[in-house]
Amino acid sequence: MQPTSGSVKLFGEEITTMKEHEIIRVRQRFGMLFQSGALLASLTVGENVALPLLQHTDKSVDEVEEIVKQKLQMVGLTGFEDLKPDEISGGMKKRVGLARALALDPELLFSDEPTSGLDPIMTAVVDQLTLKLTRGSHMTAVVVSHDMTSAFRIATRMIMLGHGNIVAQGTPDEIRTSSNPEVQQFIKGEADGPVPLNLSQEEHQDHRHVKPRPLFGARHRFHHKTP
Amino acid sequence: MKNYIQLNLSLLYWILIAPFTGQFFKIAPIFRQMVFIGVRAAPMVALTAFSVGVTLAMQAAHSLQSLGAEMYIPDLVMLTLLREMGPVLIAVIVIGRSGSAVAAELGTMKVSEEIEALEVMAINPVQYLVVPRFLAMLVMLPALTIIGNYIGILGGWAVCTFSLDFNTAGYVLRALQSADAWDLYSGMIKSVVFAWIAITIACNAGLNVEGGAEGVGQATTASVVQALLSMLVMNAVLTGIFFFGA
Repeated sequence: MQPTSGSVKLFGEEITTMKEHEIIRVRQRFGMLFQSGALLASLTVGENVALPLLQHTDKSVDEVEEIVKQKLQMVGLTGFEDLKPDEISGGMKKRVGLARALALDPELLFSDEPTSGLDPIMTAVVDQLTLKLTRGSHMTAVVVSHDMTSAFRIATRMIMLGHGNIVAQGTPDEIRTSSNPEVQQFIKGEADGPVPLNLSQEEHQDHRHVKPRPLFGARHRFHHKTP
Repeated sequence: MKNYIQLNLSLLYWILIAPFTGQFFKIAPIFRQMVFIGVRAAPMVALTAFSVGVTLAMQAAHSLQSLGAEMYIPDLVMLTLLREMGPVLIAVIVIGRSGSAVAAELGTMKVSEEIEALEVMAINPVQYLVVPRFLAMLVMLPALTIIGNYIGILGGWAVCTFSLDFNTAGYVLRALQSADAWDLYSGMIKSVVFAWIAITIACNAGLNVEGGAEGVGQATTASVVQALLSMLVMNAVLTGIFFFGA
């Protein structure tokens, strides 16, 4: 996907203007966890985790198998190597996605909602894993999350986004004590507050290009005919 | 159209140029795709080809008998199969069966973010997904065409020996006498071109799906229709070049 404007820098390098072979080099340095897991449905769990290793390293099959076992153990899925993604639950898929994102031992991990759809115990396991990797082995994790418990547990620095802008940023303590009413409403999860419930189309930036249309269209079945 | 040309260019890059820069494509996935695309289609191809061979012989018998020229039935079956019916009908079967399957598979991968996931893992989707399918199709469609030609000729033989006054030797001799190597080669060239059209259109449709399950369905249908039409138009062009030109 090509950006329309602006600039994205990763590891100090501008990536929006990069050529294909340069960006491949950058992409091997970070891992990405998709919200849905985005596992390849035609491969087994083990093959999914092995995929980046087989594509980008010269490791032997035995070594790859060992790493796959180790990564799956990290996310609590020992013995699931031979199942297909559609045979496991959504939360398990996400944990396999995490194992795959970590397969190449990246310097940077992007996580899109790593804990949504997980039970509280598994959420704690994933949080601890993230903590272990970031504090222990000097990996940076960028986590997008709505789960405030998890966010306050793992974050060293937090940014709240809204209306396409940064609403607030700071350490977890600064955010917790923020005087911004929007921030307080969000972290406490209150229905009433300054953040509007119903966004109209003009306010909802993401879908500005969609034309409004009636819900049932012109061929509405209950349309009244006037004689 | 722009997407389609881009896909073809990057295919050529990954097959012809990338291997010399150390990024050789893997062989195992090609064989896996050859089984999906080719081997599994063989029974359908065989049945189609046999029916066509039988039909051709029966129609030829009907027309040629009234002229007293039944001896030319093997010629007609042989030439029609090798030059036209073989490559075209087997391409129709493979587009309907394997082309649609490829379009639907890649389309489903697109809508479930699998293609994006590959890109983020620095795996080029064209190299990883399209190249094996392309090479498999390029090998298997001509191979299926050869099998189909053979079985079609067998169909013609069945009609000639069991209900007309041919013996097996007479049928085989007459058929071999009528055709030369160019009749076979022209059909093979056609089927390589058809393979290229079929698989690139299917992959392009799959990789550009938008809009969920409905989009996958529409892309699959569109890819089959477009591939069939392009294939038939290309067949007319190639026949013009091979047999009508000089």
